[in-house]
Amino acid sequence: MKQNLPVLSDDTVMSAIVWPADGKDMVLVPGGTGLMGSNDGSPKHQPEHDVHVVDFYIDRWPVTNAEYKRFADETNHPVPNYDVSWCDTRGYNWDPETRVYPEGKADHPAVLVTWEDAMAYTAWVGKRLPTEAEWERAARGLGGRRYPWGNEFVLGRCNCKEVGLGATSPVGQFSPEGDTPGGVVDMLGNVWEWTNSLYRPYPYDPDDGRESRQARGFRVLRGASWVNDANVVHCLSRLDGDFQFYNNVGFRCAVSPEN
Amino acid sequence: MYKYNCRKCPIRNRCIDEGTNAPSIKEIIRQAFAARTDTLETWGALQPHCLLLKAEEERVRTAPRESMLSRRLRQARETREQAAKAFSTSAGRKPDYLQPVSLVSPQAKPQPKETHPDAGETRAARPEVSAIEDIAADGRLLPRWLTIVVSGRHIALPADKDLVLGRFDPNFGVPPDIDLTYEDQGARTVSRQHARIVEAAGRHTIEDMGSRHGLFVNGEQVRSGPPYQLQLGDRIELGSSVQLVYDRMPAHLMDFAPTASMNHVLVITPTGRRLAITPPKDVLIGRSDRYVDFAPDVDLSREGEVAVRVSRRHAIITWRDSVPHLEDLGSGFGTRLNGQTLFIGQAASLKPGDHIWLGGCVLAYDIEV
Repeated sequence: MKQNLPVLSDDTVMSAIVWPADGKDMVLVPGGTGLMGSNDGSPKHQPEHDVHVVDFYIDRWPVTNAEYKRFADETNHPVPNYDVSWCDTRGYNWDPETRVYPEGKADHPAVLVTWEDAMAYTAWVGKRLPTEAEWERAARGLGGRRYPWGNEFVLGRCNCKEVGLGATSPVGQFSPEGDTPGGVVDMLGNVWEWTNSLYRPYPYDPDDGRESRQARGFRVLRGASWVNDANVVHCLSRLDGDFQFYNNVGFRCAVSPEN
Repeated sequence: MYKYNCRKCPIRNRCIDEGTNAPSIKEIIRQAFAARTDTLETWGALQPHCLLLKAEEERVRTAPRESMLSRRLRQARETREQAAKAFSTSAGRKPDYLQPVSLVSPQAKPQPKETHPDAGETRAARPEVSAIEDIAADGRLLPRWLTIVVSGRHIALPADKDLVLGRFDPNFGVPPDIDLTYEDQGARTVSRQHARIVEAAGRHTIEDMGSRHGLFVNGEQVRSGPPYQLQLGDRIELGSSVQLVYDRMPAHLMDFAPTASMNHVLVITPTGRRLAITPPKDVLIGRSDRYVDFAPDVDLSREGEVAVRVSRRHAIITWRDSVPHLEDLGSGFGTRLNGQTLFIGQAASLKPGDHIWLGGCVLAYDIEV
């Protein structure tokens, strides 16, 4: 059941809240005009340009298996269980009888979820997916740093290929060194995160149809995963989600203030 | 007065940097925007080198000429979009993507009324084809297929599934099951959704799906409306460019048992590119991507915009007893075999004339003896 947040005036907007419907920490990402993309590196994130983002709250960590189970139980949504040749789902499949996530992974980000699954979760909890611009603002801040912690890659601050875990990790494993200054956790590495945005070239324009939830197209994934190496694990990376699900793809939610 | 709003332009800083004003003027301009004291005069200083105007000129210069039909469709689309935008940006309402998600089913669109202008006409009577030659030893009807006259390509006709013939367009709805872009190249008279073939008890009917240049069988037009029963040997024409013949599949291909002398061929139908495939090597079909260092065996990114909805790992052909089998690899837009969706984990055997639809890009499988 969703309860409305109390109406907030500009000077009482809180920097961190607990969302009543799922008891989840959310962090305020301040709005403003800041950088998106970069002029060097992959052509997928060129050119660098300004975007204006309005204040929003973002989940402090990606949706975990335990949180997804509550959603699946309350809505009778199918739990992920697949046997396919093109994705190794061993260790990630849920038990179809008991509808429980793999043992020991309560605090791991939920994976094997499609964009539609993520949308169903957000509908249940009363939130939405962040837009691509919002995700990048939350990770890079207004100044456009390359990593949540600064501009240099530091091994051991996120779950990526070099760390060698070869799997998802519990959220917060790489905190606090891997967090943004505002306290957002696991933005880079661990799992790619679904966003609301269609994959289209830069510059970003929220009004050109790429934020339509009904339009057909590949949706943008952000944040890289345990599979990717340092060339790809940075805040600018954007991947077109041209598949239904994978064992390194999850999501986190966002919500706009009521005022 | 100015087309673009400099104050809100996302690439304003680049535009200032790359313009030809003197550095001191550039600095004044930057400060004016920063302090929000920019005026129309300030914008005027940037207009001569506006990057967005230049990009638009470039696009207009290199864009293909617009036909009457595409102009009408574009205008209709734009008025629809403007109406939708006007509704959604009514005062005080947040844009849709900032609203929480609510999963309500979209309103059903009203079906367009089918007009039957020729309901009163009677067609010339055609002699009944003898049923005897049509039936195989086991009493079933011999399977039929289509052969495209100009390219020799065969199209297998599936049982219990409709087949839509047309031309691929990334901006338009669902791409057709059979893509005739390549064969249509000269005259360009095949519509995106041109004709539909429906199977009933081994025989097939064809109907016009509102094509611009019409559907003809043996020279007579099949108008929008009731489907037309096809008979062996019928010559089908889509618009004025593509002819197909409806006939029986040759006996030696009906029970498809591959022999050593056969060459397996994949044809990328929108461009006509032909590829040989040989057992036992698996064929991974998809789109290459240097960013994640991936290259499939059949790379459809070379085919241009028809591959816009093809996934990196889209489908795979594996071999069982020298018979090719097709499987979807969890692609975003799906794989269809002769119009039928292949579900994840389901492997279907291929026979000559089968068409593989990969998010709109259609491949044909055939064998050459």
